[in-house]
Amino acid sequence: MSNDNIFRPYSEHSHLAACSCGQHASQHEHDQEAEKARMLRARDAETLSKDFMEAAVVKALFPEDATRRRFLRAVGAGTAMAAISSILPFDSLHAMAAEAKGPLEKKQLRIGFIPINCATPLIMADPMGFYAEQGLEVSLQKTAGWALVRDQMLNGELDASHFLAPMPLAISMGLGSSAQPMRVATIQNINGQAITLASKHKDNRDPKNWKGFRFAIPFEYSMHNFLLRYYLAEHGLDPDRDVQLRVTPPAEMIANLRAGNIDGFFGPEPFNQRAVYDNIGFLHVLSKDLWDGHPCCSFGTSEAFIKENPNTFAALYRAILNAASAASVPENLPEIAAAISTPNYLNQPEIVIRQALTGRFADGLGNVINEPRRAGFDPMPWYSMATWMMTQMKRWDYIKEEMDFNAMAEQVFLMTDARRHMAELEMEDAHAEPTSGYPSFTIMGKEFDPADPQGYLNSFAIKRSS
Amino acid sequence: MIQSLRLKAAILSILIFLVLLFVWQISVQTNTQEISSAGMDEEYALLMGLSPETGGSRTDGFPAPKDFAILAWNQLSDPFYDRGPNDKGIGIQLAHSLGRVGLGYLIAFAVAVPLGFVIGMSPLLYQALNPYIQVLKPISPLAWMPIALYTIKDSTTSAIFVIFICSIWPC
Repeated sequence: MSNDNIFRPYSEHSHLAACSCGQHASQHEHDQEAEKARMLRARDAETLSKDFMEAAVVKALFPEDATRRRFLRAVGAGTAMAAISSILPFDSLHAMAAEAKGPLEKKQLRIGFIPINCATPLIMADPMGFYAEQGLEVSLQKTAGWALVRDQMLNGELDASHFLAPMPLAISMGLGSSAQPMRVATIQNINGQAITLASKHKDNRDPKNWKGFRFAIPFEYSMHNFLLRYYLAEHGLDPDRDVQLRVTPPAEMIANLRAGNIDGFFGPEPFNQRAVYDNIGFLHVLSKDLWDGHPCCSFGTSEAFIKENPNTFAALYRAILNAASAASVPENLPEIAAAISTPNYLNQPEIVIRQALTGRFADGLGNVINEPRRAGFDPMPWYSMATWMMTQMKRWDYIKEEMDFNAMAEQVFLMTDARRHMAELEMEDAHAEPTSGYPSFTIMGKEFDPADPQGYLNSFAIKRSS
Repeated sequence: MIQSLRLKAAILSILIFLVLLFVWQISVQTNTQEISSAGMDEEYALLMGLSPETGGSRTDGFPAPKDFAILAWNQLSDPFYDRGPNDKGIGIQLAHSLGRVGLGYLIAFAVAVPLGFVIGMSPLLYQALNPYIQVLKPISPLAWMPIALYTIKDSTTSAIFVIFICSIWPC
């Protein structure tokens, strides 16, 4: 707030009620010089919008212009400014009102990614020009593992990043690291993961016989971990006591499987397909067959970044949404596979990436399978997805205390923003049902009702917490 | 006499190198598997990366000396290419590393040499600072890395700091 506000809500000589913008009444009172100086200020769109909002707020506080002027005379303009700004968060209001095409606060961004298929929209946005279209210069930083992504987000080396969908929840709650509010702007991909087993287990497909197996998972706060635990528990195995789960960066899963250090892994593509390609493993089950439409990775950033750079964040949002919608056109997939297989992105044979993306693939057992829903890209960050993740975190004792899952979900998953930006881009998904953001899901034939997370938790036989 | 000793040493070195290469080749040969398209249907073989042009088979596993030599030649013959932040030539990467080492060492040099003179000239300072130096000296340089990352919050600066801290102590 400042005294040079062009609408002069703090001046006892101005007439806010005279016209909606407050400009015309002042022309009688001020000489041409002052007027010019004021209008110069109005040339900057951002200042103009700030000034307008302040004037509007003051006008709302004092609908009678006479009252406002009496108040200002009584307490003084400076005191009034301080008093009003102490009760009204002007800065946040400015951020919220940021125009879609407002000036970008920050143009050069460092965005992290892990070289896996899940990162497709985020990577594709670079060569396909979606970042440039929004005026952003993005430098994509290939990162070696999820813990590193978390650390580089926490210390501010990355502006935004590819996350595993549960990571922003875990970081916001301070699980496994210091707490810092993180936000999920969009889900990156749905489905597209698998349980891969070493070739020697070809005839041992029944999970009941898997006691003592060692599995690799990419990170503790991952859908891979939660879905693998869910799958094992549904087959009567306790994932903490009957098997060993090892956190392994996706790229190292192949070497470990080859060396026999692990019996299998629940991993991201293209590593499941890579195991088949290298003739060391086979696809036991696709994640799509456990939960069709499950989220996997997300795109997000810290709350602090959003507050400081609302326009940049909005531009980034539009770029990612455009990229996700381009990635969900099946005809684009072979071309995308070729573009992201190069050494600067995924550094994998193109044929491997293509199989995982298009869903026509070799399964490692001699069959060619056609499953177009093997991997998909649906950016909507449904609240109930977050709720499900937190029920599993609670189930396996990552979350110790009682908490309101849905409140946390609505804080971290920016579904309203996603819908607003989709509507701006005229995407049909903007109005996807249900508008509440709480669709229910079916996971391995079992219904998850987001309205009753506690009841859902109680229904599991194998769990750590009550 | 010295001439012939050097010659003998050089020949022995080359022999050791050849033996090592031989061991490498042998151990790779026993460990690689041949992936062959025999018994696969046509599309499955293609999806496994076994196209008829390559003879329908390829070997997989730890690379043999020959594979290594080919890759090394490819890397070394084009050392300065730059395809974005995630794919740079080996020359550029080496230059980055050497730059960091040089900078860290230079800072250590600027701090340690004057300080060393002062400590050497003043028995009082020597006795006062010696316990700290003796305690901090044996800390593994890598152990400083997490602390550096946490406080400096930038990986490049942290790396330079770690090089600085490992070059600063007297041996």
